[in-house]
Amino acid sequence: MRRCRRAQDRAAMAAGELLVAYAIDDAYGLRCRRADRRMTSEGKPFFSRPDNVHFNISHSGEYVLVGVDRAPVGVDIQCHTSATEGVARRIMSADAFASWKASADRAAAFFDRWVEKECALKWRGVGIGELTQTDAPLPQGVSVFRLPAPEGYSAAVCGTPPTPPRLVPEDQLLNVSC
Amino acid sequence: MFERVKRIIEDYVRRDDLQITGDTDVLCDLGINSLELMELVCAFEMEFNVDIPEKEIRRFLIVDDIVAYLEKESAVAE
Repeated sequence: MRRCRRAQDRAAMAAGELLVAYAIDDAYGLRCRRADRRMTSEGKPFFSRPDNVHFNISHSGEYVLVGVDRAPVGVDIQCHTSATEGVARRIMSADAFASWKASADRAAAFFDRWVEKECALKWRGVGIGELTQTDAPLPQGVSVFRLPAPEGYSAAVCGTPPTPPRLVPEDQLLNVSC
Repeated sequence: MFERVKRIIEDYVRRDDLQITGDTDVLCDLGINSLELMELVCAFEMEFNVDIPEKEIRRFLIVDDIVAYLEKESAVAE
């Protein structure tokens, strides 16, 4: 957290950690202080005690998205800002790019695609330099799922089939037991 | 080359408190996410008329890494 200089990012990262504590307690009755936080070989954090609990955090705009599961999980949420043609060309096939160019809401169409790519990268625990890996097949039982998101946002999760996301207000996080 | 790269980053990031040097960490110091990094890469491609493959992006840890790559690619193009 120290390494990130933007105040908004720091606040979102802190909220993400609180959301993880909330979610693992809510889903598994696991207090993060008692959980043993470790890193995968790719440098992705998870809790290893008493049983593996994986988590992933994403933030954009006013929202923080957290996914927790017994199996590896990757999540991404993005606020619909402007969609650049250069990035769209990189992440879409020629046919998909042509459809995107003709779409009525290019921003929504772009970010819907982007979050699908990004959550798959995060599931694999790799960075944007491995973008082409998102075209590689995922293991059996693992898929990318688009999530219902607030107006003006796109969100997706990569992992096992998710339960519907829940909105946790900020004030509820202040009472999280760690 | 460094000054051109620095100007593109400054135009994109638009933060008054940012002092860009060769050692500036691309993700953490600039405070950008992976999408923003991709947009920056596209801006470099347009400015320098080069294609930057994804496998190179993972090597862009600090600004000097970007400068070194673009210097190398520009030399090849000439």
